[in-house]
Amino acid sequence: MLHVDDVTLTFPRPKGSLRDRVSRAFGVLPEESLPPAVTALRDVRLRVERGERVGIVGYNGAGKTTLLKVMCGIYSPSHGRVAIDGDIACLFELATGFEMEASGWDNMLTRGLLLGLSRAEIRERTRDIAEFTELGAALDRPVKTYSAGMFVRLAFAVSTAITPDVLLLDEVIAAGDVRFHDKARGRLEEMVERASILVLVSHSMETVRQMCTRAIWLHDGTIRMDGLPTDVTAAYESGAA
Amino acid sequence: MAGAAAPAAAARVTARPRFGSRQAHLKTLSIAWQLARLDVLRRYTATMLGIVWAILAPLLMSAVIGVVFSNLFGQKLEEFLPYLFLNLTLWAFFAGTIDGGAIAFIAAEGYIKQIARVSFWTYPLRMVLAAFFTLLLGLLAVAGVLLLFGGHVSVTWLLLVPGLAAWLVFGFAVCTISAVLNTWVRDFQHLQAVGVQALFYATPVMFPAALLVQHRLGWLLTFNPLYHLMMIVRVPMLNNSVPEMSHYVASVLSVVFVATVAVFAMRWARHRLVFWL
Repeated sequence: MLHVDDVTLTFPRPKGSLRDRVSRAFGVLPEESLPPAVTALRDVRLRVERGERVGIVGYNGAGKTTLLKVMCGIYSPSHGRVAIDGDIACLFELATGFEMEASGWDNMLTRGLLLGLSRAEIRERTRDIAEFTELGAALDRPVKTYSAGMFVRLAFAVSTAITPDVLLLDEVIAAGDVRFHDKARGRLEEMVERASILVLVSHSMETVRQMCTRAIWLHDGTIRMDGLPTDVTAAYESGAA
Repeated sequence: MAGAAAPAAAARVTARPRFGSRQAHLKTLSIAWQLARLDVLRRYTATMLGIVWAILAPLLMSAVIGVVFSNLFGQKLEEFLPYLFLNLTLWAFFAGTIDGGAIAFIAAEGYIKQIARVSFWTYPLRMVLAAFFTLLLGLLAVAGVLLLFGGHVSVTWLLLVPGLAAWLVFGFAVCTISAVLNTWVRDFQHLQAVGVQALFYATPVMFPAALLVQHRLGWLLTFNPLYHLMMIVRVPMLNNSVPEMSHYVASVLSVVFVATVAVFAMRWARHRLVFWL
């Protein structure tokens, strides 16, 4: 199960550099020069049980990705709590988090370890992962020579080598070229099948209707609608709740 | 179906280690080790002389400073050079952990914002392990120079084990504190650089410690943790004797102190850190 209980997340106001802080302390810099705090989520209450596939829809800036990041523990909520039963994995921003000077192989090992795999587990999967990336000899090269698509392939292949209970996805499916796209979809579906809970953020209503058993419309940090995918996507598309 | 035919590949990954458990610590160490290994490889395979640089650079610096300062202080070169070389090697570790700490979290932003449930201790530990490797290499070179100048290995060298362990923990703690401060306030680095530089001149690295005592500045030694930490490595290695107990006591107290500060700094930063990146 995945319980999000009355979660509010306010991004703290960035206080800036030492110079700014000192200037403010002496009144040289007005207090209003601080950027305002942003509340990305307000009292979000969501209970997802075993077997559910939840699609989250909403406009840009509605807090969808932030909600995923709170769920998997990257952001700590300002109020409320998140309770999860089982392993959790989140897939987003696949194009960051590499050791640029290191080879594809070394990055594979690094990311695998970060995701919680043991060295033995990674060794066991190395061939499978390498094959999936289709990077071939490029895996011997430092990843700084890779194209954006190659980065995503590598990260995607490692990130999907684990089998979590709870899977959080943020439209990472836009990976590399078209052929990879189809393959990635297959692999992702396999991963989704094995997970007991899926939470998916998507701009594609079609995807949400196909993959999900439940949909959430997130608007301005609050849940505007919670129901069947067909109902929620229809309401979202017509712009009324 | 192919998936069903290969149950091994589809086998469940064992549960992620619980926070604070032994497996969690092992995971932290395992990741830090891998990252440090990459750092070391990058540092030494990028240049033609490779790993030789790690030894050559402080050695050349010691040689130049040694010739000048041994005359200045009226010290014998064959005594002063190993002294200087060892001090500079230890100092380089200390300064390196502080500098590495400054970017520890910032360099790991891609991981921190993307992959959940990785202990934040991983990233300073990575920096310290890489710096410690360089320190060990440097000490090997120091030993070489020492033997060249007629020194000898004695049983007191065994005391290097607890001595270096203290340096490792001290470096880890200092690196962590630096990591938290520099991520919190980005331009803290400038202030920190001045502090490290000041400490360098207040610590007997380039000059004999006796010089401070002669000028009634002995208190600079008493309250300088780095002096005591240096003594517990230098005395067994260069003088082949056992350091005074006071150096050990002061070293342990310093290590416990910085480690405590580091733990509290991390506790304070844990839920804030990601918002600073």
